[in-house]
Amino acid sequence: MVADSDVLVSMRGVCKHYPLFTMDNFNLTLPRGQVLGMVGPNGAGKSTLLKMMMGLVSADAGEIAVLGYKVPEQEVVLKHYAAYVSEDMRLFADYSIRWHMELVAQCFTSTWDASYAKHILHKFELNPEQKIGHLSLGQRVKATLLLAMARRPKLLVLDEPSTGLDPVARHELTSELFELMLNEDNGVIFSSQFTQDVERLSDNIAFIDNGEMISCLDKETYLDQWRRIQLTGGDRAQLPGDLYVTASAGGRVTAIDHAFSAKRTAQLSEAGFEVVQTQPLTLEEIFIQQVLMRRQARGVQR
Amino acid sequence: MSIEWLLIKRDIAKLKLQMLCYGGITLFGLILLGYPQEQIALLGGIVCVFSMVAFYCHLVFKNVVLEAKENNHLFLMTLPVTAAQLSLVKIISSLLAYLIVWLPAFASLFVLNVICDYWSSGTLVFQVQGFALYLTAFALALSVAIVSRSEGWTISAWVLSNLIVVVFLNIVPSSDYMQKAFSAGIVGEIGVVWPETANVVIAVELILFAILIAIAFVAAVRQKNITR
Repeated sequence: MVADSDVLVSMRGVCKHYPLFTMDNFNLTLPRGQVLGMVGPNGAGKSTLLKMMMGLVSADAGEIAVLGYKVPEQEVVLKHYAAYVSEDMRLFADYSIRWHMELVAQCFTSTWDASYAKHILHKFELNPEQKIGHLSLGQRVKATLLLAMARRPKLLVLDEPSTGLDPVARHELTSELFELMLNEDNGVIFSSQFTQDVERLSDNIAFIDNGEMISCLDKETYLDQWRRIQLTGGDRAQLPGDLYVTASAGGRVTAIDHAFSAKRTAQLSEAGFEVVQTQPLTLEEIFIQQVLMRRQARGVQR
Repeated sequence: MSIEWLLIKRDIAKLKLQMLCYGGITLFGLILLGYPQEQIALLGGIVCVFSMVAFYCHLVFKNVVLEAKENNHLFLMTLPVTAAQLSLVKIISSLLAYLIVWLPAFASLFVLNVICDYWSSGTLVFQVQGFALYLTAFALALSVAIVSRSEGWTISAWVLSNLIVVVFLNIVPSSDYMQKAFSAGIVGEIGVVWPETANVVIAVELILFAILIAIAFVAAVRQKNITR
């Protein structure tokens, strides 16, 4: 039985140090039935974080509990209910998909769903007799996902699963994840460089940079609060300090606002500005702005 | 069936081709070794040494190093096992695979010494020392592979182990105690001669084997992260 917990993932004060990487006092909570998308530049610590959740990498300090199980102490029990797929995970090239399915089925006798595995095989158009070494990259990713999803996990942890896939394969993958997530008790945590996938699938989005959580909010809050504002008139010195000016020319200022509301327009009017246009930002733009603003605040010259 | 045993069986099955090939080559070498013509028998001895050494190099590389290099470990680590359990599986499966070839070959030496009663009385004791040394050399390669999971260090360990075998083949037959055993007579007339010094050599080899395997076990139990 899965441990009784309404929280799928709980990380408290987690620290991990590598020679050129530091993660200090990292905290994260994911409620049951949620999909968390992680976005961050290369080397931000996303993979380390996901591996720590699964007990594949041990944290230097802090507490991690996944599905109510302490990690790494209860790592083995956890693996019966949580599945992990990573883009750098490799199946055995000399063996067929069926061989891998049989191995996983023997290891997870209580949770392996043979009929669902057959369904995914058909949906992903995979031939179970094909050797992994003869598969294309997309097919290999699909085979890896099949092995994870046919276990009907309560939590699916995906580390950049769509890297290297063509748009059609990525679409198929995200559609299948949608289907999996129809069960509201299940949870999914995934990292991706494709913000479109994250935007499409996630309830919550965590932006991570340099081993730190920049922000973790629900998708709508990001998309509601972040705006690109074009202003004319007024004295630039009078601009609210939390606006991030991205361009200024010919009396026109373009700024990024991360706390946009009706009050903001009134505040800018009071300061003598005329709001020419407001545009919502894409998730990718939001992420880039967050990283730039954070680095600027820390005095990092880019 | 426990997951560990399942994975051990999987590893053994994965090494089946190598076990058959090297087992076959060893058998062929042993047949040649028993041939009553010195040059052919010498060739048989060389084939035996080659297959016993090449087998553990191939086995350790395929079962431990290659899986780490190709990131198969990451997949295996998603199964309900810890890093320590997976490392123990690797040690046990490698040991079993090697012993499955080593034991029949070792037993054949005794049979050959009965059949080839024209052999020198010191032949068996020399062969037993050699076969004990293969175990030590195998344990050296295996423990270095388990501890380091690095191709470079494992290759260094192979070279060192091969060097030890070559040194053994050059030094031991010309040593005083073996010279006395070889020149004592033939098996058919005076039976097998077993010098006390040979027992010491075999004991040292087996102790080294035990220490190296123990190091691999300790390293495995302490293993916390085998993914890259």
